[in-house]
Amino acid sequence: MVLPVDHGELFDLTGSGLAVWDVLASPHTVAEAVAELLERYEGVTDQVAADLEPVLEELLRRRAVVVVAEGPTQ
Amino acid sequence: MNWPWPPLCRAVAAHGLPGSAVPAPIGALDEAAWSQLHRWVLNQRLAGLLLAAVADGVLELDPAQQEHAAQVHRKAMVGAVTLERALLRTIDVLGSADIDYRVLKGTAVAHLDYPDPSLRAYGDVDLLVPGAQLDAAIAALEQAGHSRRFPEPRPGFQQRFGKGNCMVTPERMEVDLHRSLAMGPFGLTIVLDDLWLQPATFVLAGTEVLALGPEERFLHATIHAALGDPVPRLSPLRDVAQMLLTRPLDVERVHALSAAWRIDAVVARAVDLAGGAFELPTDAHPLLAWSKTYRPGRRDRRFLRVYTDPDQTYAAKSFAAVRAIPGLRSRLAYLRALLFPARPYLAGRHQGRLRRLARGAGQILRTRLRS
Repeated sequence: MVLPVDHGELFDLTGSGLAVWDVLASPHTVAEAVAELLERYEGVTDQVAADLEPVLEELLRRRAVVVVAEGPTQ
Repeated sequence: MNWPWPPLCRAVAAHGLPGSAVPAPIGALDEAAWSQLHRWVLNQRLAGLLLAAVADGVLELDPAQQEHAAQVHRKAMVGAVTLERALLRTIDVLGSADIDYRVLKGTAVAHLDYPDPSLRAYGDVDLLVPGAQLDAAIAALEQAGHSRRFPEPRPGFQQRFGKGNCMVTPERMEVDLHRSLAMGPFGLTIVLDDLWLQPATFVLAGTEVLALGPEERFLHATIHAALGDPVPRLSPLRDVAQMLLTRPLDVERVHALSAAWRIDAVVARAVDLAGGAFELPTDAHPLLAWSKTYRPGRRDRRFLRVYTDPDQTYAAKSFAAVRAIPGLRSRLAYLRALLFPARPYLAGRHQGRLRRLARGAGQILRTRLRS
């Protein structure tokens, strides 16, 4: 379960969402997160990146994660 | 010995304690046994240990019971993370006002003394603040939208004599601000400066949070276990045993602090209770052996009765605390505040000064007649 520190309601992370949460325990670029997830799960890079994007968007929307530095789009 | 908890509940509370001889449950639980255990787990805040006992195969539950246990634990953890968020916000407010703090009890113990914080459920947030800053802390929190749950008997009473004040957050959660670690006579002999010497730290949501050092935290756990309720509760007793058996404690320092705080009788009672409840061998820790031979003096026996008497009353504890206050002027100020409190205090708790005096006098008289 995840409860954003500043605002928002509690929500659950299950399945691959847990792996994403684990990876994001320390700052990662999207590419780094994809690479780390590929090490844990079988899959194709484009597919993992496509699956990761909506999870990140949801976590950002819920303010469970924050962007710590802008970089080139990857 | 006849314990106030059913054997299954005690077994759950002892789960994972090295050296505990509490017998593990045998076989599956029928519905009546599960229903009783579930009620006690909720009452004693043992949801984390229950789930661990199931996961480790020590407690045999059918699928429906396992699901029920998981739901109980989830509810406890939802409560815990919600409280942790309230704690972080409160710490932030105090930090902005330059007020020092230490996190106490459940939150600190869960993160510092258990291998996994989810093993230790808790129901509120407790923060220690320096006595001289208690009023400023309350003012800062009030400015941030918190409110006092109860007014104090007279302005300045809590900062000078009290254990602390209960604040309610804008989200209706309770945050207990403490000046000392106990109310009543034992709370007034604690050397408060000792509580600020050596903090421990843990991380919550990326924020480093301050708590009492290990020996101070252990002593607070003994206070909570021995004095917190007339009928001892398993969760605080487990905290005492957990700290004794799973983390290094400087025993010399424990004894030195305990003697300086004049709470040897409290520590001995808590350690003895924990040792008995969890069937720990006396040689498992030097403090267990010490607790078996310690004999409290007359003063301490009288003070302990104030906390352990099933009919304990707030008035009796308050009256007993007078003896622990040094100096005639301070004693008179204390008594004046209790006997002639301000109107907001009376409005919040009692119906008029005379009725309060009569009720308090009755409680004290009954206590004196029984002692």
